[in-house]
Amino acid sequence: MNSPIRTVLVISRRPHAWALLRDRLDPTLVSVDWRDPDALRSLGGCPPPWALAGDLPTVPPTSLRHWRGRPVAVHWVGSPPPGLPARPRLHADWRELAAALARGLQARLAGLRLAPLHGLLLPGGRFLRQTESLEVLLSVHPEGLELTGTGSALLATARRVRRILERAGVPVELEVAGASLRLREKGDVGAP
Amino acid sequence: MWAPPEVLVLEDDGEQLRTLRELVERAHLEPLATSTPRQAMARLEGRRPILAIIDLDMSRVPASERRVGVDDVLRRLHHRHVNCIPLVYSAGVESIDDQARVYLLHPHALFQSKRHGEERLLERVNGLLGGRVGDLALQDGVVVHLPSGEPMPHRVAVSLVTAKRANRPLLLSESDARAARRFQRWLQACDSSVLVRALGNRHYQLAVRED
Repeated sequence: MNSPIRTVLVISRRPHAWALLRDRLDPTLVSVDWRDPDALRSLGGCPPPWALAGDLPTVPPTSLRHWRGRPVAVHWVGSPPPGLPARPRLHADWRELAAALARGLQARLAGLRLAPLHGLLLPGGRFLRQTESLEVLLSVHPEGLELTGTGSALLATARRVRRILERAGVPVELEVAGASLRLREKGDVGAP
Repeated sequence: MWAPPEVLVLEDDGEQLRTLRELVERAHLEPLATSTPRQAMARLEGRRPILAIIDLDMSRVPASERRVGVDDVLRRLHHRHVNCIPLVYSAGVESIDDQARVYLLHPHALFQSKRHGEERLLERVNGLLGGRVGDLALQDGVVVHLPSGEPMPHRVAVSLVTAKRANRPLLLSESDARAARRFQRWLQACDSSVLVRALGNRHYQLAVRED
């Protein structure tokens, strides 16, 4: 998990969902990892994945605490457990979840899109690296992301995203409302 | 003198081992051919193979040699040969549970079922060792810029092309990172459609220009 590769982390007891996502998501864009919930503690100190996907109603209570306030797209099948780093997007089954992740990988906004495995491609083919938080928000555009952590972690995330947008020089801005973060194309007033 | 990049081959069937060795040699790479996991562990000492072709079924290995298993080889590759891509082929990678067992030993292992036959395995290996990235190709163990025919005989360049074929970045040492930067300058001089991208934390990957 210390590699800079964009990753979907699957949390489930059995490996079938991992295999499904591995086979359905474009391997040039994302890598799929799997952890049994009892092995989540080993991730302490690792940067958050691009997306978290699971199907368990409970996970060890403190296992994901280190990612609170940091942007992670969370997708869940069934009742989500407490303690996830963001409000999860709920899906009827793993196929629907896989389709949502696949759409997220193809997201585009003002010429921004995900580069293979890491970073963003800007209009004109320019590459920007170390853009993890913006990659997450791009993948959940236009709905945005509601983080469960608040306070300093949320503010730090918002600052980081704004710095990346500045580096990118694209007409996109970050909208923060409470614990929710959403990208908006500048001048776009009709978004949901 | 230029030393070709190495490929570890672990196969307990003598005939199949010979076939795989010849395949690697035809790609002008150096096979590290081994018939037991213990041999494989010994051959890995001080080597940096770019690819490992590993048969999971070691039923022909004599009992006296079984203290070291394929699991040990996969663990070692994962922890100490981070840029080596393992291609695991076996009758035992059919089910998701089988694949998950290998995944827990080496999360980046590629799978090839024996059920699909030797032909498919050879195609897969050829795809990794002989495939193209943009206007680059691996030919005779070196990277060649196809439009100009210019060769780049450096291990790091070959590793970057192979890693790109397997959708992996490379984690490079300082000296290898310097080689990657030299490779990038060479790509620019050739006006190649490919570039070396630094991803941060010493990770590097090839990318094809889109402009």
